[in-house]
Amino acid sequence: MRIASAVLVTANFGLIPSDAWAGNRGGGGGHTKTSVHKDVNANRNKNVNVNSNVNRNQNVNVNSNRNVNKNVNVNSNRNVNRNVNVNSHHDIDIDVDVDRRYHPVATGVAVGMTAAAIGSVIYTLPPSCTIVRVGAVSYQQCGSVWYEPRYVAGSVQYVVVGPPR
Amino acid sequence: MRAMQRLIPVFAFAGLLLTPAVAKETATPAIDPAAIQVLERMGAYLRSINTFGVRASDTIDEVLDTGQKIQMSSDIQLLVKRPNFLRANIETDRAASRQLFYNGKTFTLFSPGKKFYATVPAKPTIGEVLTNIEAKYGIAFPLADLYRWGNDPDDIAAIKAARFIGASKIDGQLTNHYAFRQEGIDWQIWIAQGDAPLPIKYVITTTDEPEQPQYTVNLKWDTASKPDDATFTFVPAEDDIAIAIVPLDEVKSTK
Repeated sequence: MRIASAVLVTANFGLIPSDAWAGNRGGGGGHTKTSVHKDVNANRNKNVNVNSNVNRNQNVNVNSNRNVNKNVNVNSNRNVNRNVNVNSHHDIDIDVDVDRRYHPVATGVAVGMTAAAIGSVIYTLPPSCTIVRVGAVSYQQCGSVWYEPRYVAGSVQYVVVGPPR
Repeated sequence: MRAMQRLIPVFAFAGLLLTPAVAKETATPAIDPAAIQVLERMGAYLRSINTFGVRASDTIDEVLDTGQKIQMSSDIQLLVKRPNFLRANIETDRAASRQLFYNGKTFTLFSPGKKFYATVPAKPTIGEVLTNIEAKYGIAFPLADLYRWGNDPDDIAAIKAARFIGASKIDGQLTNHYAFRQEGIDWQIWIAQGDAPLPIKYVITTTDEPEQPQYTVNLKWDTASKPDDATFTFVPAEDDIAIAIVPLDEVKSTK
């Protein structure tokens, strides 16, 4: 398993910004094998980089950004290219399900660019979202942006959707 | 093995001049048949216990882009009732804990932190469901080796070096320590001495990565475990939230 170091830093050491979980077989680069049986390790690369627009390099010293959540303006997600927000999203969410094990999805960090684009994916919600059930589906409404959670490779992703109602 | 590789060019050049002495040096068996037998015995024993519980603590190295290795750990609680019940709770020091439920009909992935879950139809046996769920959804069951040892002779064929290291006591348990080499990994296993040759610990070193990261796991067995069938079926609580689970082959389109 290999993870982008900036991602880890962003994540305050170990808080890899995603809900990626142990069973997830994604992540970039190398991998630590966890089985002696080849079929178990065989699929490791299948879902690598689910979300490839990671801004890996911008954050080298981000550990100091801990607790930045106050800076986050939920509704401003529409503004594209604000990498700063990207990181703060992750730092704040101590709750994020993380995969610090099989591979953390270096991929998760992608938020800033895409927040409001329908179909784009984030791994960590901005703060102050509410769960809204519409029919059988539970959405997360974060300001004017709606997300639908889903599992991909064992990790929780949030996909931006149009307002469901 | 490494010595043998070095000698290959020697053979090539020596040709007919190759002396018996040189040949003897390379003939040192890389594989100790006794070590293989022990592995087979362990596999057979694992196959023979139909119901068991395991508590495991594992660690895995994550490799940063800089090459620095970071060790992460988790605790796993596993309940197995062959052929078609499996439950795993995986707890990490963060919120990425997961629970897996398999009851021969459905598979559920549950995130207790977020209360998200997804249930999908599943194949009728543990062996099939392991392979199928991983291939289809990219979800790897923890400690998959425990179900696989002893199932496939090809696994033994993949071993390129095998040796006994010595006796070792782990957590009060007397074990024998063995070391194996395969394509891409070196691995070691500590197998309980006595009539119940269970794996007590294993370490897998990934050798085809320059940093050679490791996975380690220590296991505590409960072969007297008698889990209720209900343990293996996920029943959502009022506030649990069903979410979609996306097959891997549908993921790429969302890039």
